[in-house]
Amino acid sequence: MLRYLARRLLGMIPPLLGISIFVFLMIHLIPGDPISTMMGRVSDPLVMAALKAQYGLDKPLPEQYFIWLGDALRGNLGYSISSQEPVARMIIERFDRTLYLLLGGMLVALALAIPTGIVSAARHNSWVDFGLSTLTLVLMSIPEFWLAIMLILLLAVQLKVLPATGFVYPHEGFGNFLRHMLIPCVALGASEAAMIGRLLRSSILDALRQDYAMVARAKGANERRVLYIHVLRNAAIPVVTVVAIEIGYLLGGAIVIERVFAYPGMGLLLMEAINTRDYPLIQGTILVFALVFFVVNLITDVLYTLIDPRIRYT
Amino acid sequence: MSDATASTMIGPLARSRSRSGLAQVLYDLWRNKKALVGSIMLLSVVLVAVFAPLLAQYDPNTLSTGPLLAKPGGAHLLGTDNFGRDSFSRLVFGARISLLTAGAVIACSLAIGVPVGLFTGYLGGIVDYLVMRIVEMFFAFPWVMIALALAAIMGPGLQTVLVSLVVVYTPILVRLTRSTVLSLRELEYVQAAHCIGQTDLLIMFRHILPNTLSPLIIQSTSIMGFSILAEAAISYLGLGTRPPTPSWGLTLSESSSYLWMAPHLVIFPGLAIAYVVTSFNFLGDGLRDILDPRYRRR
Repeated sequence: MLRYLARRLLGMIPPLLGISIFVFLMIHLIPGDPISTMMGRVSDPLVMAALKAQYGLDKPLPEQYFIWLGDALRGNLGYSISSQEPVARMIIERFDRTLYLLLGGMLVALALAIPTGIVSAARHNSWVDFGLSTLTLVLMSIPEFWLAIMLILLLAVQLKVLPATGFVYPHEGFGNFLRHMLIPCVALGASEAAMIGRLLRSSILDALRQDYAMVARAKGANERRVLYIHVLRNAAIPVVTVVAIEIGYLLGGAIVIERVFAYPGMGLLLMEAINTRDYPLIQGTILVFALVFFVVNLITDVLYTLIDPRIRYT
Repeated sequence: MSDATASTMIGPLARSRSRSGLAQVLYDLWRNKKALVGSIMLLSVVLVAVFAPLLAQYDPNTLSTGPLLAKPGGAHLLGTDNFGRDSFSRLVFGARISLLTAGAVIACSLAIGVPVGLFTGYLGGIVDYLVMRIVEMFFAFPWVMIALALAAIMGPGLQTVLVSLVVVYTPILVRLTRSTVLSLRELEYVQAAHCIGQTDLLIMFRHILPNTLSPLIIQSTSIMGFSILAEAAISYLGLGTRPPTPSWGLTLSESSSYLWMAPHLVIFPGLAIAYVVTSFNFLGDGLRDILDPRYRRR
């Protein structure tokens, strides 16, 4: 297991380096010089030269990259142009809020998907199955941000039972924290729930046709026992893989959801950075998002071995 | 074997052989209810987009066609927005933006992704290794990251949306085409083609490519549906289509500030998006069944 983890970590380095090169080059890909891009037009050549020296932009590009990479590895992601605060500190302040949203969204997705997938598979080809399949397909077709707006309209505007915006930390009142998180997490998790539920359904149906399920029935197990004791764990394997991939989509969805709710997370920070052309902040945020995605994939690979002991990583 | 049994066995095969290719496709679409519903829904959207100038009562960008934020009814079927523009007119013209986005994204993604996947899968070796490492890097990014990064570089606009989505979906098609080609290139008929001296290029395009079409068609319907959702999301974030283009996502972005006063401005564009994407999803589900080789034996 440790050897596998080490190999996996080493395997992450090339794509992470590739992403770091892209993130670093972002500011240089924009037409015009980076100083003008960040700060607007600078007419005095002496001022321009001083600014370039200050930001290290007078050095060759490969040297700039390695300096930037070295700083990033030491946790120094530069300074925000608009607020002059360290980018790393700005990201850390908001990181946990986005994490709550992601975890909440995935919890909602799994809480809805698991019973839906199981019921749909257990009642295969019935009206219940047909209804759930249609519902999940329609849910996958609804834009998350529109669902969020509709939930705000119903629950915050019409019924006035939940707040429309804002964030409260759990230690500041767990009940209030849940009230603020409910609509964003449901909006974020609903279409994921539909996708995961459909996948779980087809995975269970495949597993129910396997020889070991037939043997279990031949030995006298009823269909409920076959499903819950024998089949479900095997059917979960492909779902775990997809859940990891879907974290990437949830990250993207979180950015949009944060905009809808003015939720003070990393997504909203990134949007503000793009609107103000704050490129050090854009670079830092995108780099952190990519890192989170990689770490989640690594955790999923480890979970894979826990669910399926037949998998041996050599 | 009795004559009745024999005719039952050969009946479906004889019936399928008697139809032309197009007729068989239309028959299969008719027979599969999901594909039929999806096709009808999609056709309705295409007709709305094509006949938008006839259906719309007003030009979608004309200001003050009526009272500001008017409710649905009367002269304005779906009301008006905060500039007095007719919402129904903007809705039907918005169908053009969505279908254009879906069509352009899939056309470009297929044009780039399929040949790359075909060559990579067939040739293998160092070319395959390098291309797949580059493709894997794109899978490391959530799609919104790529769109936002490109918007930061290129500036907001529909062209940014299209480029972002092509960058997101082309790797998916490369990987799909490659995996299909890997399974096909070892088959006997490909080896036989080698034996009789056919060139690699001929084998790739004449023998292998046609057999990759089924999974590509199914994936394409999915991509078209998701690209409409993606365009709406990027436009909602203010990085996609620019005002006064009547994109559904942009309309949602502009109207969400008036949610309390005019909820109808938010409800109908969202329903329109859901309708179009549902049609692609139904069609994709139906095609998945139709193109399954076990389907024709029923």
